[in-house]
Amino acid sequence: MDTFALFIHYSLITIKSRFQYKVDAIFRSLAVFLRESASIIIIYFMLLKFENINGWNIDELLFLFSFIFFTYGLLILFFTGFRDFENMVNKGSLDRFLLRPRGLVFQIISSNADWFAAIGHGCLGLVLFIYSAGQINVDWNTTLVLYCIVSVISGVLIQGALFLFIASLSFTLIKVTNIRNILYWNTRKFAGYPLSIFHGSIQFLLIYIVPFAFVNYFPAQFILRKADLIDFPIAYIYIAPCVGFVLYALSYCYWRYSLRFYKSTGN
Amino acid sequence: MTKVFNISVYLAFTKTVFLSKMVYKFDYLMGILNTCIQLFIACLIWKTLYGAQEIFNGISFSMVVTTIMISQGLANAYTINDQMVSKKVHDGTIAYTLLLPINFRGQMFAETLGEILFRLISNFLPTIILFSFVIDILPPDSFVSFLFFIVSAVLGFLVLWMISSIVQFFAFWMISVWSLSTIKNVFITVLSGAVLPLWFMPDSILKWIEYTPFSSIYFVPSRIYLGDIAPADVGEFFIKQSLWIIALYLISHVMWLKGKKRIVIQGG
Amino acid sequence: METVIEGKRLKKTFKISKREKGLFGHLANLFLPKYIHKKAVDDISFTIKKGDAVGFIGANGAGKSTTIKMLSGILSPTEGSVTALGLSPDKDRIEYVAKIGAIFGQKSQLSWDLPIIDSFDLLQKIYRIPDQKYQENLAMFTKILDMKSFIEQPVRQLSLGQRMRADIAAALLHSPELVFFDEPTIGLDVVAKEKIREFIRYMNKELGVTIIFTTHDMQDIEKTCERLIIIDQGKKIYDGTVAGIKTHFGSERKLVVKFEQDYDISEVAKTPSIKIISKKDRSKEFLFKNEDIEVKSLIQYLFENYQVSDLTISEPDIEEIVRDIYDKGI
Repeated sequence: MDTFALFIHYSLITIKSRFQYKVDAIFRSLAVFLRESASIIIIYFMLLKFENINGWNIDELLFLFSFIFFTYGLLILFFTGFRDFENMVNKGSLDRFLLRPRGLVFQIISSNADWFAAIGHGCLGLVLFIYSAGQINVDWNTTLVLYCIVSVISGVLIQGALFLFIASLSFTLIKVTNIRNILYWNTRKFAGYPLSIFHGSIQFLLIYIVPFAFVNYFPAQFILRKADLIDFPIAYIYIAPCVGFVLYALSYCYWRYSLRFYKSTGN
Repeated sequence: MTKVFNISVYLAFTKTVFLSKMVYKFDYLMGILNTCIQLFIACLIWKTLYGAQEIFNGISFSMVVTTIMISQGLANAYTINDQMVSKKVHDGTIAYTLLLPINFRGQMFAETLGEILFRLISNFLPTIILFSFVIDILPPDSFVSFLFFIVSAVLGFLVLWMISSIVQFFAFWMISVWSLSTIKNVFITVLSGAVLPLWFMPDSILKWIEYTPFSSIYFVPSRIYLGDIAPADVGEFFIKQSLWIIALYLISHVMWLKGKKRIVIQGG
Repeated sequence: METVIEGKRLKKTFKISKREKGLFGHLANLFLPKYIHKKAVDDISFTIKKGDAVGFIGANGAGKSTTIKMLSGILSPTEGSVTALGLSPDKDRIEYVAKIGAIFGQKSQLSWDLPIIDSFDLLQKIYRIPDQKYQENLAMFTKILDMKSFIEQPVRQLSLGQRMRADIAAALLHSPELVFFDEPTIGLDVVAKEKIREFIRYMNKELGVTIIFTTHDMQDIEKTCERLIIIDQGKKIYDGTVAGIKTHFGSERKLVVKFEQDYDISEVAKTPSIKIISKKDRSKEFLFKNEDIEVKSLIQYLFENYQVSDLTISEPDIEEIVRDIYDKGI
């Protein structure tokens, strides 16, 4: 309870400091919302002319995309500190956190919660989800709702585990920016589209190495059951809600292990 | 206060940035990889959309791919840091910068030019060459088209630079211009045709784009390259691009003067 | 007096990846990094008692910051052990750091864009400081550190001296028993430096807080600490009083003699323990060690054989000695 109150206090502080530049702060969430919408608007225009991509119509595509945006919104609320980990280490923040009587992971999470971006991404995800689910006429029942909620959490944890893993690598390697660009950002560019349009090696990458497929494709397929699901083991749509929890646990262990190599060379 | 207007000083800025970028060889390999992946996905999606068709709405698949290569390639090369002024206003060094015997806008432009030249050579050219082995990229329609394309691409960059200057100078009033810059980039991404060639834009929106500077940045150069705008017709487009540059420059210049005055009065 | 910190045979070895040049080397680095082992701290032991004020000095890279980081729980020692306030700084980190404070001259812990009082309020929550104690401490530090005029201002509008005072207050709000100061006067002007030193002295003497201090400015040490630990190349080369350093290192003396005429003094230099460090016209400078040469006999010898018009003997001051150590260290 005390921890939660502190998280909120940290958040208020970050928000307040952004509000020192009022106009910019007010537009910040909107800017993120629009920035992320750009790709959606483009796909929407594309499909006005072309109607479908590999059998997926615009509503189904938006549904697929909504998972990416919504999970990212939650992700940056909790994992921005690990995303920008080297910056933080270079600024000496990690030393400072080690000098304060609170959990290290907790401090990294709460002092970096980016509410503005989270609202931007999250709202876009939510709008897309509600709109597309409405168009698709999903037949909601308790199982489905529960499945969606757990899948979203799992989706957040999959990406969080990646950030945590890459941050842990920075204790032993000099620079991990490039590794993160390859593993996360470049792979994420593939993630919005139906897995089936890609070549086998990219599918392998998205399922087994950087498992974005479990963030959106398999959870969406649990509901949509599009024909191209036949290319993949059906079991994957059932294990999707668990993948994140397992990966995060593994990543956390690796983080604990790597922390002992911290050199504190910030100055 | 006399400012230096010796062009060699500014070329020195350009050269410094260019050379400093060359040090990070690994970063630049990564840059190529990033661009390749981005272009690869774009090609893949257009391939899927076209399916078995060769021509859709009068536009061939090769034309689409070539436009994407050129305009996204240029977009990747034309990176302008919108935070240059903002950073100086935030940390308070702007007043000091204005007192230096160097034209600050000239320096900004020269440094950006260094970065862009570097990216054109290290990123744009290699990716285009790499992709030409894999995908059918059309050659320029004619040699004249190619020359006109170069001119148009330079004008396109100037349009982009002027838009960026306007956003940058808002920092005199807002200090942080992150949001504004992001929103500007959204407009450019969607409306310039860099990602979605404007042929596929719904007509209702295309009508409005006519009245904005956005198509002048990447799409006009690409069309000239393809011969979609015939060499005989380029005059009209050059005039349009130039008019936009002048109009945007005037706006940014007024903002610069007012903003500078504001800094002098407040003392940073 | 009760022991606050006990460092026993501390060693810290870093595994540093060796950078290879060139593109291939860069790739090789990424996938097969090569390491070299560097001993940053090599077998250092010491005891610090309650109420002590101890200065740590040493060149950059001498192992001074690594030692301080092990004492404050940021790094764990490779070998040896630290016991501080009855705890192990790295193993009982959370319990330990609640009782200590740390100030880094170059890195503020205050939010750049917010009034400093907001940063203080956050620290109250982080350290779980009871309201009453927090208010008392805040009032006390506002008064002593003279912060009233700027406590509502964001850090970016403060002068360096004001920021430093605010940072010190921030590190002390939870009434730590042990406080680490890392270069707290760096970049400050003389007046601001004096204010900070005065406060540190007050804290140490009146509030009984144990202080560990690192700095490049000898004046800081002379004015705040009784005890000095010098670290060089990972080893402790001195541990004692500030005054004692002169007898320990400052055994070299310099004799400046002005003669009536330009003598050839090579005769004097034949004594192996006397060095002539400068000979310009009639003015000559000799360097010798106390234990080798008796000053009296040297002067006597000079007076007997030459016509001397002026003569001065100087001992290097502490600052000079320390500068020597630093230069040697680098």
